[in-house]
Amino acid sequence: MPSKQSLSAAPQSLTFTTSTAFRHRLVQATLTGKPIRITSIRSSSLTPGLRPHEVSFLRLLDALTNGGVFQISETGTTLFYKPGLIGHTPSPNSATSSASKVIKHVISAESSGRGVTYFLEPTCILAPFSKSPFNIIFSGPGCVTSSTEQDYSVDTFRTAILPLYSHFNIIAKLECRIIKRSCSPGGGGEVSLTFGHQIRLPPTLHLRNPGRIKRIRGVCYTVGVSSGNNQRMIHAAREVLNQFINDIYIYSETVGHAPAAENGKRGTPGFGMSLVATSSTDCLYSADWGSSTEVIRTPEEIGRGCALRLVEEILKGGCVQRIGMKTVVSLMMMGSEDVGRVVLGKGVVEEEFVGHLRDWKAFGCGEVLVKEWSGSEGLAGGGMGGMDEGQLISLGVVGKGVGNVGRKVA
Amino acid sequence: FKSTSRNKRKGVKELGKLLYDDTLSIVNVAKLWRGETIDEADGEDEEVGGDDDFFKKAKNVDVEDSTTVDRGMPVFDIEALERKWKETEADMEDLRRRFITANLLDEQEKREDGEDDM
Repeated sequence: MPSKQSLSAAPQSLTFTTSTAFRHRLVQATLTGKPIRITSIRSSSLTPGLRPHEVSFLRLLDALTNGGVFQISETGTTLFYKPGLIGHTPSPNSATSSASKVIKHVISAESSGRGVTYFLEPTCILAPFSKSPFNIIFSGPGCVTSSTEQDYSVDTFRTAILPLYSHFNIIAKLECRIIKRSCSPGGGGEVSLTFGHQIRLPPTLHLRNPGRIKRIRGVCYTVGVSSGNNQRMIHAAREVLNQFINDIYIYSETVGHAPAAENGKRGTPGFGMSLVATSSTDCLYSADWGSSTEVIRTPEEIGRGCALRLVEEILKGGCVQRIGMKTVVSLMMMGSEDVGRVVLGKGVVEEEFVGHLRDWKAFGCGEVLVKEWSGSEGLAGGGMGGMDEGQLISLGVVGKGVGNVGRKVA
Repeated sequence: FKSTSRNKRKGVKELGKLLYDDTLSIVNVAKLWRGETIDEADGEDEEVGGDDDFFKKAKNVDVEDSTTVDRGMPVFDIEALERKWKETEADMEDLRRRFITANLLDEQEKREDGEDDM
């Protein structure tokens, strides 16, 4: 549940409870510069307190900001965070070498249950508002590049989340590369992220035409298993998708051996697929599925399942799909004080989305305006990309105009 | 009678209010929006089994945790998707219209027909 302001103890800090939306609350706090206190983090759980991946995220946040304060209670169930300025300053001793500008984030084996996109997504929301460019290399025994039960794969991040920033004219020097692939659990992967486009204020977004799907791209990968699995996944996915459109390319990547685990053991082998559909107006829909060590699935199941997930996401419609919502809303909230609009499918409104909007309100960024969307608003007939009027809503977001505090005004 | 009115699928106008209605949990907002029923008896049920007081606490441990997972990937019910794919022919038509390969003339006619009906 979101939050009441605790007026008595510390007038400036906001209080939240539980580990819900942990990453994004920290990001929101950092962007708005407001200290927060999160209490009762898994306080009634058998393993109370912060999980390893959450602590790892705090470490990353510490590396990305200057002068932040983190206080974790002894049981780990309470966290106080006072944000610093966004921007990594290399230590003065090593300022001469360019290598010092790269942040190396090593993820421990305990947090290998989560994919590396757990860190990538919030990091990139902070990046445009940084003082200096972000160059980060994620590695370590907990670095999982494939999709997990809870996180999408780095391929999806690269092809479906990073391009969202182009809606805000953030286009230069963005790069996310997978240096070493790995599957969960086990990790040992390596991902480099470069985010070199810093801005002062994101422009107001008007995203109103979802358009029609013009192409589908995808990546399927095998790590430490036969590359024939790639063909099987692609075949199954195409069985579903071929009837809709011809322009489908699914690239396949084969990695001979999974990166070795710590103590020299063999890493986890696996395979998976990531699909991205692009519309005529550059709206993106993506889907992701990978093998898991808990449930045994054939490559055909993965390929077909991934295609069905993509179809489901396309059916939900709108200009922004579910996994991109937090990024888009966050950037809109930080924008100039004007009403931005984005058209969404009704199916996008889910628990996490509602929670995210409430959190923004708690941070003093106001409420969003929801309207029924009718395509007549400035668009010619058929502008809704083949969706019925009743399936879309229009979300109006008034920017807070906080923008980039650290960046010098030109 | 309040609960019956709450079970109805909410319109867009109401969504604006629902989103920031602090008396509703985020899970319930999403459920109402999808047109599902919400169990308002949540709190009352607890009171019924007085004898089980001792065992009650542990029951909530997992429930609370599962609702607060900070997920990246949305949840899909793959079996439901498979069923939906097999069963609905009309859905396929909806879907086909979302691609540039759709026949725009047909759609325009359909839309004009629709407007005539109104």
